Amino acid sequence: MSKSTDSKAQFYGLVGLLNIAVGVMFYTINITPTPVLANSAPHIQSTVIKPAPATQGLPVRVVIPSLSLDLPVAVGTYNTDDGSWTVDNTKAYYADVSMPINNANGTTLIYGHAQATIFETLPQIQPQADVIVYTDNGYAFHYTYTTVQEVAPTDVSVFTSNGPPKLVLQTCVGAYSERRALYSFRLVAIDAL
Amino acid sequence: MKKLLLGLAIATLSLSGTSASVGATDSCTISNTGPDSTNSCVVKEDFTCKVENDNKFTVINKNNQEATSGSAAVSGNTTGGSATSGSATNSNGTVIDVTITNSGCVVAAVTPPAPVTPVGGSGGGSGGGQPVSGMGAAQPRPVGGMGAVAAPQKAAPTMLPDTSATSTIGITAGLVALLAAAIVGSRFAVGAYSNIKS
Repeated sequence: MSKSTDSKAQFYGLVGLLNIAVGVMFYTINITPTPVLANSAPHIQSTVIKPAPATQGLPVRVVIPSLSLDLPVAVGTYNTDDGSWTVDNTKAYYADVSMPINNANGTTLIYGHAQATIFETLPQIQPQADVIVYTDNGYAFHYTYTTVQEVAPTDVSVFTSNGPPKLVLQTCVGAYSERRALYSFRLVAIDAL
Repeated sequence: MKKLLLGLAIATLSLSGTSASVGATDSCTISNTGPDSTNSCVVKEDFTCKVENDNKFTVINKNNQEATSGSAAVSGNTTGGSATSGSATNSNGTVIDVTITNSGCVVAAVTPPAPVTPVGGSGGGSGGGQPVSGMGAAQPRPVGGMGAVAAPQKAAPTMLPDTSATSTIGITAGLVALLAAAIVGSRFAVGAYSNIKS
């Protein structure tokens, strides 16, 4: 190999190195900004909460302050043989085919004779009057009077109504006590005693 | 550059087989059991309450975003020079709350609220850049309702209770009136008989 050939080779080698250096320099200057990508997936959370159990109990006492009534309540049963109900002159009765006192649904029926010591003064009750029913498991259910309805003794639809929780007090009306007066009350509050 | 975010959230909440029992009140008493007598007492109470809540909700969240970068050019410089790129970013956030209330045996239909308008991003600058994609979020928050109370399983009555007044004073007054009527009637009868005989 001649001397001029060596010089040329050295020259092209230097030019090559210089090109590499310049390329590295420009590459360093022209850095493409790195895009920032946020989390793009929709975030879903779900929670299932089971319905809370209803509060319920059997009525043992009914109080109507505006009528000065404070009566014990016993369980009244229906006799399928003669169509009669448990009833006497000393207390009110909870019809055990109706819903227990509760804050979920259905109608509770409490009945009593239309006599002075029981429900004789029920027709004097005024709208928005309060009624408190105490249960055997330590609750006080507060109701407010809404409406009264007179029905025939054979109208037993009160036992199958299943709307919002409601209390119905029943006594007899009419010249010969031939009709049944159903006083409806709406649940407004519950106290744990 | 366009980014399209489509969030589709479907949640199915099922509640089934929730049962409630009611305190039994039946009882029976066996008495007067003579020799060799066979007595049985069976009380059976069945209460069933089934609550099924099937709630579905759908949330669609669309965010369209665009960020356009500027251009940069270097030319005619003797000693070189540089053009540096800027950045273009977009961001947005969407939070959607869906509340479902399950109450008793009734499914409460709740309409999901409309998606919140996303916060738009801003783009610009020089050089190349890419927008940041948006983010959607759906957070259902079911609220527990109340289980239903089952009706007692008793024989269906055909009559309401007879709550007519039965005061002893009234009964006594009635008996006295009947007795008085009988006495007056007998006196009339005796008088009439005496007149006929005479």
